[in-house]
Amino acid sequence: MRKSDLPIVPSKSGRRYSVAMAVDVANILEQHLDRTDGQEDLCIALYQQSTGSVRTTAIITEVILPVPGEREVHGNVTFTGEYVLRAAARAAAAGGGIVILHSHPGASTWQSMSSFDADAESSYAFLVNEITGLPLVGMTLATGTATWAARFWTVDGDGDITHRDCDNVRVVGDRLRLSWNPTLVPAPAVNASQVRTVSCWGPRVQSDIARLRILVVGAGTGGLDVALRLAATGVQHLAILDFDTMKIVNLDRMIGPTMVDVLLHRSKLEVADRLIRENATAQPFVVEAIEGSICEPSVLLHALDFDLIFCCVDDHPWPRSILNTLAYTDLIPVIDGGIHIDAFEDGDGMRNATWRSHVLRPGRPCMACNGQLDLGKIIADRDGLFDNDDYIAGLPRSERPRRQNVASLAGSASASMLAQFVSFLATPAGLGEPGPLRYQLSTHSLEHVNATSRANCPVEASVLAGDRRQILTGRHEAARSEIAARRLKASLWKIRVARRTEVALSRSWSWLASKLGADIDR
Amino acid sequence: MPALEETGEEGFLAGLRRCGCTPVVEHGVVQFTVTPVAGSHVRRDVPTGVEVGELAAWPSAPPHWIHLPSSIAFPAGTNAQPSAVPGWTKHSRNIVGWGNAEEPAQAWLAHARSVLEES
Repeated sequence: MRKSDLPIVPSKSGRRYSVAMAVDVANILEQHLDRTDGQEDLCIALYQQSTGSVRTTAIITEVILPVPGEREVHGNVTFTGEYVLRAAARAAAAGGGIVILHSHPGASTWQSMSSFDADAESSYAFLVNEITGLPLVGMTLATGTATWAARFWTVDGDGDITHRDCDNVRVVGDRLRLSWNPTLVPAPAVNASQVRTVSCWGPRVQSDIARLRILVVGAGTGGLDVALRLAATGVQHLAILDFDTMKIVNLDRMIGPTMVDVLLHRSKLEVADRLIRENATAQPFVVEAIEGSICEPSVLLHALDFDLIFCCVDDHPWPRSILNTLAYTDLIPVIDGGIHIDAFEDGDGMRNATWRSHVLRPGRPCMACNGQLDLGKIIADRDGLFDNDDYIAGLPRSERPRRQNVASLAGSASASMLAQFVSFLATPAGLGEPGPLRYQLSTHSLEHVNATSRANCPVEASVLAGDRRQILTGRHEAARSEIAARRLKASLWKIRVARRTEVALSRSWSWLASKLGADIDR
Repeated sequence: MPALEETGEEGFLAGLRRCGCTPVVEHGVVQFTVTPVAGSHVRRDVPTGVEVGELAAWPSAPPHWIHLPSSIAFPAGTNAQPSAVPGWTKHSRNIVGWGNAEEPAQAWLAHARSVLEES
């Protein structure tokens, strides 16, 4: 295989492609491919497929290094069909596919394929597809900077073989190491409103953060705060997911929504969408407002399209368990956090408050292992029992859901999650995410939570399963009922008239602001 | 990752069989017997069961309801509903600390026994 550029090929169907691997797998691959003698090398790996609504990801699970005679290094590298067949048979037995990886010594950027690369990979694409039922994936390592490039070799109904270049390659460890396809996902230009942000960590980190596709699950107190700050930081593609309705009890914690939103029966999503757009600094900027529940199969499918997820749902075990599982089965890191306020039973005073944050990923304990999710309550929540007042009244007081929160502390929980995000991406002082953290308000002490993965944890046992993950999703009746009830209220004539009036006033204000804005020195 | 045959209803049934039970599925409920080691039913075989519909996520998420003959009463009271099995009642019971058993079915049997000890 030799270097020289062939054109980058995006998918005609609009489907996007990506590769993800855990850092321990990446270390094995890079150690093998980045030779001390400077020659090119090659190896094969297995993957499980993770199929989202618009993106397909190959999750690399295992490296199959060549045995003597299976590949020959002579400046360049050649390999035998027996090697490919051995790996393909292993992949088929595991229900996965194979990746052929080679190096471009000394290169430093995302590598396009040479004609030799394309010939070598395409010659095996059909055979591999026949054996495994999945596309062959090709990858190239630019050893100068450990930058990966990747493509899927798809076989259509006529047997035609085409390569589809990936958007990115993600290496997940205590930091998220990203290789971007500069043609499909170019680095954005820094604009005037981002100058101070970029001055904190430089253009490389900024271009990584900006290009991440981030999903924030939950548009309540924490989710809204996190989403607004991500938008202001310059994330280009942000999605927010929620099904709940703005209620008057939310106004003492959520910053931005108003009584008008409550009176107009707006969803939290609608409010978040408006506020996120107002606070975004990226140009262009895409916000996806997804109305629904992560517990529903179609929404979970959508979640698989993202590079990083923030879990900002409340204390319902069912959605939390789905996001918890996703982090391990599909190698999409989930940043989770929350606040617990310990009020005195007599309602007169506060004993303590704690807020926690952690990144869920292979190598860190899952939510169940670090004590933030009770797997024994998932089915009860799925059945709607935690929304059933009669059921809750029958529970011991210690097991009843707690909903205490306060605006003056809620920001600390979201700040803790965002600090995990910055460590994960910007690695200050070369340090990645710190593991689970807990802040105790009463003593004002920050603790590293000493949690480890349990030996028989069923969640972490399903690591890198991809599409072979166990199905935890189902019809989320509480979410559907909430959406239906809100739509019914919003359909009343007086609400419709009020909404139109409010929109007209808002447009007038926007027009006025644009005239004023012309005078501001940006 | 756990083999597919170790998950869901099939995984639950296989686990019970490994633990020496002989489960049958009737009225949409996996039925088997347990023998409490304490309480009013000590050393007696007591029929119990779980709904098939609660086993899709086994062993990541254990069932919530425990089905028992309606003749078994709980002095402290429970959240209870009629079972699909005629003459049975299902009782609401959370399991604390689920998820670290080498044999999840064994953990479920221990849970069923501990619930019966309250009766």
